[in-house]
Amino acid sequence: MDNRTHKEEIQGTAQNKTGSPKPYKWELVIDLDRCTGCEACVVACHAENNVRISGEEEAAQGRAINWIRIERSWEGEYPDIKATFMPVLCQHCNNAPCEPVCPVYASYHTPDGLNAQVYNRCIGVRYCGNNCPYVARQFNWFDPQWDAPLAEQLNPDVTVRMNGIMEKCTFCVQRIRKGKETAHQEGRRVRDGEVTPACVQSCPSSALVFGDRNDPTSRVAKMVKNDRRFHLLEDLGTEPAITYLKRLT
Amino acid sequence: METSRTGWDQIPQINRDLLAPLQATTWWYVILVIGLGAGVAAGAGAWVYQIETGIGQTNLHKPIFWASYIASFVYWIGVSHSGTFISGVLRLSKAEWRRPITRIAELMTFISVLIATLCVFFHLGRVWRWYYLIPYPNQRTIWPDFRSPLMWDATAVFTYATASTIFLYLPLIPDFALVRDRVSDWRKPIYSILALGWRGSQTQWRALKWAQRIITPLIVMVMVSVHSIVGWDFGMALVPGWHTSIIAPYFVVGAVHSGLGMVVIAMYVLRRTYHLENYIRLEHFDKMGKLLVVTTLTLAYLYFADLLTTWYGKIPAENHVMYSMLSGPFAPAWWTMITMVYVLPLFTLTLPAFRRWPVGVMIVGMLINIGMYVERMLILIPPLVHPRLPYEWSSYFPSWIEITILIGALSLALLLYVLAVKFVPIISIWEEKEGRLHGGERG
Amino acid sequence: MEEREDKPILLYGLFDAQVKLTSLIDQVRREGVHDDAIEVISPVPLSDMMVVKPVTIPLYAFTIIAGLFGIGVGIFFAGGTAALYPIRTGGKAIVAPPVVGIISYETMMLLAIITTFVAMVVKIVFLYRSGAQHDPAIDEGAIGISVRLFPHDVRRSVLRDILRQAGAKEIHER
Repeated sequence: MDNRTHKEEIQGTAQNKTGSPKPYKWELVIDLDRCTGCEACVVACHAENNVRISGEEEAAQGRAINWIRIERSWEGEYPDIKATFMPVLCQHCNNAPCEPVCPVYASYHTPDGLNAQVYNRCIGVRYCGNNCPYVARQFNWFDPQWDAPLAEQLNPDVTVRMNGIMEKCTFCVQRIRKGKETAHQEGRRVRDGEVTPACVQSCPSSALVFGDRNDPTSRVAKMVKNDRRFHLLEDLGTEPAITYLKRLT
Repeated sequence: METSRTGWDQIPQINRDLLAPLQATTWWYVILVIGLGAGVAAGAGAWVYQIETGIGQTNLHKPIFWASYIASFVYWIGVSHSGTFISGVLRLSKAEWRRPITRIAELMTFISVLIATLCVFFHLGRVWRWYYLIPYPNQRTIWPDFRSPLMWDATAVFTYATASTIFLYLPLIPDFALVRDRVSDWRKPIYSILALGWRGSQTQWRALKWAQRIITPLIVMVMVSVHSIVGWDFGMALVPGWHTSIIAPYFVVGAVHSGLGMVVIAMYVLRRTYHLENYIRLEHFDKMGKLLVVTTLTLAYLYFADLLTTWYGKIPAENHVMYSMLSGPFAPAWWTMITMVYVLPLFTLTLPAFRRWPVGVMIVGMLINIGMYVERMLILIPPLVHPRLPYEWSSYFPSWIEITILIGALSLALLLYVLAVKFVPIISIWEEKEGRLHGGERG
Repeated sequence: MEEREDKPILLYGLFDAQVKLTSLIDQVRREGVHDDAIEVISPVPLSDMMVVKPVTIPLYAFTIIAGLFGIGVGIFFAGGTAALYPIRTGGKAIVAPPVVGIISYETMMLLAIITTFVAMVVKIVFLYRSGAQHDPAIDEGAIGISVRLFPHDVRRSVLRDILRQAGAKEIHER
């Protein structure tokens, strides 16, 4: 894993002006005209990130943990009903309201543009959960439990969170780290498409696109200029890293 | 002066009356202590169970991440403003009638701040890591984030706890000396240490009075800042219904309102139990009643200003929150709160005859406190239940574990107070004497 | 109680509340006793004109210095730690002025109040060692005067007479 300290990471970015490479800026584009609401992304995220199984009773209490959820709404009256689907996940806001309110720095912004949650620092105050306008943050109300043999399928690259800790989408930071390490060893930048989070990888209609916005050749850098673009709750000024595309006319 | 003469003659009687609670213990007292102890034990057991199994024992769930524990924290910090207000503000304004009430109120402040801090510990998800909040150099090379309003909270509440302990102890020193000379059992060494070798020489009195004169305005300023900062826990958040600039003054005035209500309850109970009718007289209930009218009107003004702005602006997210309280699922709670906090006090305490009826004033004080607790819950729950994305709208009611823990906290507060009455003279003896002698020209 | 020539003794008189305190203290002063050696003991604070000792260091000096130190502590915590270990959170500045202001206000108050209290405690305890013994009768509504003298002092009997004439209920020497 990366052994650099916070200071070095921050100072590393400051050296860009002298000509060293720009930092990464990971962003996601979600094309709502392509989303079918199949929820493959939800399942893939659960599998990749060791999200705890909640069960029927807990889900009825509103405690089911989903790092990405599909918000389904109905438009129109029968028989002209249409379903619209919106995948909502942590928006990795540039001006994240969840970060300054954590009293122990368990939530902070990495130089790569990710909103990071430091599990072993979290003491469970839950202010960040309140302050996220997208309700993207989840809390571990109990210890996780996997009945045998489900524990065999846990991802060894991702920690298992115990009770009392906030968690949320990390853009599959373990995959990003792996991609960056490989690229660093080969002395190059991460190429477009080399790093895909689980949800992006599993989407059958390619509605999710992930990449480095600071790489001018990446798909994401081109798609964020699409005229169908909008941000969720844009007027709050959170500057999300997720761009939605939808034809409105 | 003739009145000085009779004033000095009253001193032995004052000593006897105000030391009586420390000397005799009745069976009812023991039963009360045992009952409250059982409540504390139940709450402690529930809390241990919650720590062992997880915060999931509460009914909290996304998006309601804060609920009854935080509401209780805000409520107890509010109650704690009673002591600072009566002892501090009335001392600064040289209101003589405060003298029999200051100790009652200061004790209440001291105990409430303890219980409020306890409520924060109930709320933490990983309470065994609470020390991450303390700023000290450590091998993790990380400090707490002071940008968070919760760290402002931690600093302010710590300052307030320390300051109110000092503020309680300062005027107790001469009284501890008085008690030290009149007990000869196992309590004597404790009182001797606490009395700091007090003899009553003028230089000692001078040091004490100067310290009081300096600390009183400082603690009043701390009082205003503490509850403003607690209000900013909510005001800084983006949650619709929380992000309003009136929240800091509203919380401060609300705190004084509920604090005064609590003091009135204590005044009545102590007066009745220990036959202190000569000291806590009808005029004190009258004056407290008038103060309560002032706080009721001020609080109503601030609350109306907030509601009016929300109603007129019709911003959807805030509108939903407000109407859910006025006519939606939270309406019964909201209308109850309005009745208990605003309507009943205004219709009763404005009548001079009512204010001189101690039972009545006490009942109004109790209703104010119940109403203020409901109000704290109404600040927490409806805004969290209605986030901006309607897909996540939800509902909440406390679980049995939460209720048990909070009843345990209330029992602990009452138990500590009941025990304190046996340890500390419940009316400040030297201040009472001073009031009768000089008419207290120094205040 | 053996009297040693070099150890001061306390001449103590217990009076009714009606004693004419100012004239009594003036009489004692006229005998050449220094203000530092006279103490008035009472169950409530008497008005300032009866206080005998002058003030050495004013208490509020401690308060002000401690307050300034408290502001420094607050700036260190809120600003210094943030600058030493910069971690980006949201769009907020690393060193945020309003935050530094709030924390400094609280730490200023904390240190000011604690220091004032500690200074007062030190004063009270210090005076205990150098002054009269405690008399429980004071708290029942009496006033005491104590004068610190050396045993060989010639004014001893004169002062005893002054106290007796002023109406002392008891006179002790310790």
